[in-house]
Amino acid sequence: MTSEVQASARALDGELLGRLDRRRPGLFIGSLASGALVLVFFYCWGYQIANGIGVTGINRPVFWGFYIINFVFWIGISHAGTLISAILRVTKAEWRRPVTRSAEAITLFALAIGGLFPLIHLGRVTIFYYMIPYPNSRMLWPNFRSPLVWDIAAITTYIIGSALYLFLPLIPDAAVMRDRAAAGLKKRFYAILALGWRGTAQQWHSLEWGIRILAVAIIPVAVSVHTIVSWDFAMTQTPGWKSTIFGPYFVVGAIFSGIAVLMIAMALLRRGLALERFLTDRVFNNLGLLFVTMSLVWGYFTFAEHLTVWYSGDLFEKNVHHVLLHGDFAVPFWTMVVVNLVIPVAVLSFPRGRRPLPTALVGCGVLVGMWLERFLIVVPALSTPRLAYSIGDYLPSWVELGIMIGAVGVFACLYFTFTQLLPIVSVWEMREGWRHAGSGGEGGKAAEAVPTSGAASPVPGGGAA
Amino acid sequence: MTAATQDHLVEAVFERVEDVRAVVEAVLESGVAASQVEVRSPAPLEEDELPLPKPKSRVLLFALAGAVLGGLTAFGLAAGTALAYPLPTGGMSIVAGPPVGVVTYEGTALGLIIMTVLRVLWEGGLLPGRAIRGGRGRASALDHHVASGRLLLRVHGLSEEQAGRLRGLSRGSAVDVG
Repeated sequence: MTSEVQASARALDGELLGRLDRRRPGLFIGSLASGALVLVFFYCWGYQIANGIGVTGINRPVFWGFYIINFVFWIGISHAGTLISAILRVTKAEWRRPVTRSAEAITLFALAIGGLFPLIHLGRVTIFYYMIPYPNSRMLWPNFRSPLVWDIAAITTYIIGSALYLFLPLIPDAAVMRDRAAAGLKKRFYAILALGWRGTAQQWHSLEWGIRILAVAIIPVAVSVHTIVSWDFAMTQTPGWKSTIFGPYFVVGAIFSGIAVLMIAMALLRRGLALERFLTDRVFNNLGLLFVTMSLVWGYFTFAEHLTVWYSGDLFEKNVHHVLLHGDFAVPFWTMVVVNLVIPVAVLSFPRGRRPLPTALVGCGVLVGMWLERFLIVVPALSTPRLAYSIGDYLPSWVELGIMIGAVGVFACLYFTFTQLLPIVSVWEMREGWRHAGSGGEGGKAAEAVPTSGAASPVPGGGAA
Repeated sequence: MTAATQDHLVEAVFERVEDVRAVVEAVLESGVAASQVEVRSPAPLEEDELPLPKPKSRVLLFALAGAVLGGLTAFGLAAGTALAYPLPTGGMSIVAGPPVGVVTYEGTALGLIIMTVLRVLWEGGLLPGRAIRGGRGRASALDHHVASGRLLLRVHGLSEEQAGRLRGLSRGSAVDVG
């Protein structure tokens, strides 16, 4: 490293630490606002527990309503982090460095919320442990041939894996916070998280091995989770659900919605924490390209799914297909197509569209579209069964709406709290990137890790977006 | 020389890896063993940046062992349950391959992940009661420098004379010497 490059890197280092140390009233207000929604969430859930599942709009023949829609939606969002972060780590994409922590936190919190919805849907949540395999006095064990039990296996693995995948790279940063904090509760909190990390060669070596292995292991786990969620539907005989492409279709949709949340979160963080020099235009440009690619892949799967149903001539399948494209659900269906495919392609195909604000706005649209997609998978199929006399309707109650909106608050509250307590940009990974940039390491790619704007860039001309 | 005179610890803080390298080379040339030298860095260093032996890791081995263990446990759970509580379902055999396979797959991944993390923590001396030998990994009054992006060189088990020489050597390029 030349002394100029080193001086610039040190300046950036100081700037990043300064940003993370600073008190941020915006985040605090965000926590309070989302905290109010957390109360809504628990009030509605408590009301349902006290009064029974009859307070929802779920009824024959639509037994799966908002709760299952939201379950699939949040599990999808959880693919933001672990999968995206793992893929970028495995491929050694240097521009990943400012993004990974944010993405991994999204995964963990979205997964925790997604995992709550089947419990809420149970109604009698206190007996949820009947699904867990353990020796009991009733001599009953779960039937492992049910995809719902596979869900438990997959989501348990994913939530433990995601938590550890977030935690492991966090240890060195917790040590940084510990050593910078004044003595007191804060220092003790970070000391517990840091587990005695000192930054020795052995610790770094083992940590790098661990992260590498977890990054590789978590990708098939993430894919399996949403595939198994899709099998909850595809393993049934219900028209509209029995599809061989549901597995990959769900995985693609999950990654797509995951990127949408990541774009929104990053745009907010960039603005809220003044991280323009770290979450650069280049990062948004690259993620924007990935975003538009996933939009096109999603469009392809949607077309393939509906084309084969339309061509089959199967009466019951065509009934569901008809209500989707031309009937009661046509408005949400075509809205979904517009916000998931037409707008992303129209905006993100151009470099100007891959800036923070447009990508975040497109991300908001995609979230709406992906929620509608899950709604259109669950409700039309159940409300249009094979037997005409049992055709029914579904209208969510205020309890379901409250829990759905409250869940957004729970997620935001967890995310804001995390951002206030821990570095949302991985400090040690940024430092590693600057070191690589200074030494011209990793095949010249390393220059991408260096913030692009201003004269402080350690690599001359490095990484202009 | 008695053991009592061989317990000096010298710590020095540097801005640049090149400076640490120069001091470490000099220390090793003076007859100090590589095992006595510890460098703490704010980010991982490349293998060839310091003239010290490369740390060893068995994380991969333990990860694979965890995968096998997790897979066998999950298989036993799914297949054993099916045999203990036979439920004829949809014309499938009692121990049906695909469902058992799905559960085994998840168990394999879970075993691998948990074992990987445990091994990383073990090797790094990060588990309770698991200190790294030779005083490594203990807190230092200069650790805050590492948090600020500098490098901390610690040389353990030095004689008074060696310690004095190392302090003198470090003063030229070090930010702080303790």
